[in-house]
Amino acid sequence: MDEHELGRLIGMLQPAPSDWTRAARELPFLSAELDDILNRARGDERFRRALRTDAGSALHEQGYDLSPSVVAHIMRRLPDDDPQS
Amino acid sequence: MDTPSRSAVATHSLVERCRLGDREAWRDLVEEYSRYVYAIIMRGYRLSESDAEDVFQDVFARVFERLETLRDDDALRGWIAQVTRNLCSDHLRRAHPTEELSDETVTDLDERLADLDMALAVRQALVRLPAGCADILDRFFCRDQSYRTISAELDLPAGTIASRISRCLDRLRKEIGGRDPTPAASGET
Repeated sequence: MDEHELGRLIGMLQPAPSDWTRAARELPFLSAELDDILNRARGDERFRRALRTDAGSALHEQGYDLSPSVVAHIMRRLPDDDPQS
Repeated sequence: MDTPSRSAVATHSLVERCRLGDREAWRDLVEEYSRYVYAIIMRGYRLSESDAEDVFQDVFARVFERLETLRDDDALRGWIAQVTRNLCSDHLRRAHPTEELSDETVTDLDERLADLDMALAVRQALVRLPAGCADILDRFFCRDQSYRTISAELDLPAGTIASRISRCLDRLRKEIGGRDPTPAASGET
């Protein structure tokens, strides 16, 4: 394998964004909290709206201390608002 | 090319500690495979950034949840690759339910994934090099830093960067080939 090929292969594995890896490290240990938050968001429209307005503050007010990447993960899983409501 | 990054014993220990919920072990596992998973998603399946982030998190969540099902700890790399491929395929099927992948696309994908397996083997050999070598190669080839930037950040004479990179590549080639690395050149360890 020549230097050019080695350099090409080294360059193929770029670091994943640091907030992604941080979330990947944290999420498995937060499953109970995540389930609580998402279950509550499903049943509590007011809480859901607060999350959509300012998720970080809404969660902090409820006593959760979560990193931005974990908050982003929650927001991607937030249930859609019922279009009939 | 299949150059293990760690001995079978160490891999078994890492997996076992992860199964027991050891956060430090899990952090090490994510650290070791995050680039590989990211590359499969982005370079292999070419998902968009936002879709990729979702799949990336799903991969590590599933790996954590299902570590119990991994029967051969030495198969960790292949298993993580398979989990990533499955989740990428699931994502594409959901996003484009009526589209079938052509044979040509599947062949291209297989070639890209085989390339990434080689890249991982090189990466795992790279991290076995002395830290100075691993760092300078990562800066130049992965982080796309110029000689001048590397020189400034590592406080090294600019005129020595090219030769250091060349020597480190030589050591890497020997590491991949399973031979002992050459003795450290000055300032590289």
